[in-house]
Amino acid sequence: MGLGSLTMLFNRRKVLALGAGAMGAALVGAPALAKNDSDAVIQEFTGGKKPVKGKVKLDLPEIAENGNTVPMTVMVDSPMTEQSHVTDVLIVAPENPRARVVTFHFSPASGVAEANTRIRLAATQDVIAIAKMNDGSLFMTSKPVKVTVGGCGG
Amino acid sequence: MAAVRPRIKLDKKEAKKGDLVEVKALVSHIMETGLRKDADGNVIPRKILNKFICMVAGKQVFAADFETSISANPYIQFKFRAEESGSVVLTWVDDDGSTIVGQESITVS
Repeated sequence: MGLGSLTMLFNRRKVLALGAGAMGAALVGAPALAKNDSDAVIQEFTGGKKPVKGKVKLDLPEIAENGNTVPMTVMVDSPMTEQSHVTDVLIVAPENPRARVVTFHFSPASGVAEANTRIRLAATQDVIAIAKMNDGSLFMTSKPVKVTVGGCGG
Repeated sequence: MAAVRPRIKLDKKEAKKGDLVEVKALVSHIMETGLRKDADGNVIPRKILNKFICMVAGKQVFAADFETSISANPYIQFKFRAEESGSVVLTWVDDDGSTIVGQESITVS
């Protein structure tokens, strides 16, 4: 368990009170091993199938100064017709206290598989997006985000 | 809970059939994760909006399952393909079962 994850056990205010120096040092620590349910969440979504890299585009800032609100856009390359469309997109944050961030449900009436929201990120991590097509095929991407101040509220 | 009025914006009110219409919506909500503790060390119970649905002319075009990792005052932006005129109804479902509903309309020619 890295220092980064230890800070999660403390109240946010108390962590802040420790001083910016300590906070910085904690966040530079080596990324901790997956400590939440991210594998289980992905397993549940994919049904054990391995997603192929590609088709999905995840837009996140390289450095998020405030982990409490990180703008995130996900786009999936798909014609979005009755014959071929994206049904669900799962966003996973492996270093958050709870891995599942959001699941978007699209339909052919969506016209385009694209959605934007603002998410919380507890620590520097690779955010994962997995898209499920109507034919059951799976595509994924991941994007590293550096988080200066975590927004886990732990 | 006091009635919350979501802010909803469509990028066009009138569209040609087949056009993409962009929806932006913002709603005030604390999105309490259930992980935080108050000054006395008591856990603040979880209270989030866990579901979002958009219906256009009575048909679901987009939905999302929110989890605790969604920021406070959740913002959502997505698109739909204009097929027929009608209401655009956005619904958020709270953990306590209450809902926040916002409505716009779209004219398709």
